[in-house]
Amino acid sequence: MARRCVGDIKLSAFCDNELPEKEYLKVQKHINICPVCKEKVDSLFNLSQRLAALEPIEYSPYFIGNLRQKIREKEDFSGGAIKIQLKRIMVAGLAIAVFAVFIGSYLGKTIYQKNWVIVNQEFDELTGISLLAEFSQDPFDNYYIGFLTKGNTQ
Amino acid sequence: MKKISGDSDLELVEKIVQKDEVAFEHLVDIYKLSVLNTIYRYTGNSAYAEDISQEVFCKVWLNIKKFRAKSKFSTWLYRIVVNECLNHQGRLKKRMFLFRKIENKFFLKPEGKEVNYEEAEQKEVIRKLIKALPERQRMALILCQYEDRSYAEISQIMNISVPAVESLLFRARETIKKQLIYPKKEKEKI
Repeated sequence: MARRCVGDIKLSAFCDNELPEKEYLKVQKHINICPVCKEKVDSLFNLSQRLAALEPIEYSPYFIGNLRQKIREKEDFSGGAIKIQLKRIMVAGLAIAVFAVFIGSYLGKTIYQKNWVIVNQEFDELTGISLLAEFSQDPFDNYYIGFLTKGNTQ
Repeated sequence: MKKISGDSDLELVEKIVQKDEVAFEHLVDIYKLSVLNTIYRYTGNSAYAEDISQEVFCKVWLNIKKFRAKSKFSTWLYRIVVNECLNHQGRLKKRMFLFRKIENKFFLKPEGKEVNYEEAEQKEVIRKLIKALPERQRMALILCQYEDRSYAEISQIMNISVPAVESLLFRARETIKKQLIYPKKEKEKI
């Protein structure tokens, strides 16, 4: 065996003609005198030939037609009308949602206040006292005690 | 179809950016056979190959503006091919996993695949050996062996270093060589 043998990866690159010229010549020189490396290179070339036996396939006659259709479908979906329409719908939906929240809060507040006034009025009519006036502060204040004892606080 | 003769890839790309369908069809014409065969050798299935190559050209048409001409057009194209092949492999693995789960649950386990290397045609054996390689080794081998891509190009396409390409190719060839010489021994290992 000749002096230092060439590494397997380098031999593989040699077979693929991927070594720089200087390196290539060096390896070639070595192969000429080293039977071990020569055998490795031969087996790599042999393998390359066997791999090359794999024949290519042909594309179908509908290839371009199918491709055109596929592109049209994708364009319609990705860059086209649907995407823009979806954006429009989303913006409109968001605007409606914001508007609904404002209106809802305003209406809710109004209804709540109106109801509170009505409840007060009904309570006033029923009991003869003003709810807010009677129970404005502390439920155990003098008014409340007076209401329970009907004026007899002693 | 109207043929545009003498247009380089970059000229075609410029036209495709302007949505020139004739230029696109010309480009497809140039590359469809090599793309189809690369994918076919990777997947080992002609129906998948045609489907994936159409997907590749769809992506070219839709994303052509993203091509910055820093590398060759073919390198960019093959990056899409590699990505699509890897995605396909991922989807297939998921499907196979589900299928195997169902198969194990409801059906009898099929016997291990018996490949008669003596009787099978050489091409079929080679095809099976290539298909049995790990994904990256397989792609590197296909690009080098069948597409005549240089190591530098393969490294750009696969987004790896040149030494990594060398290593992938070496390991791929070693595996195939061993399988061709000692098919049964390797099969027993598996």
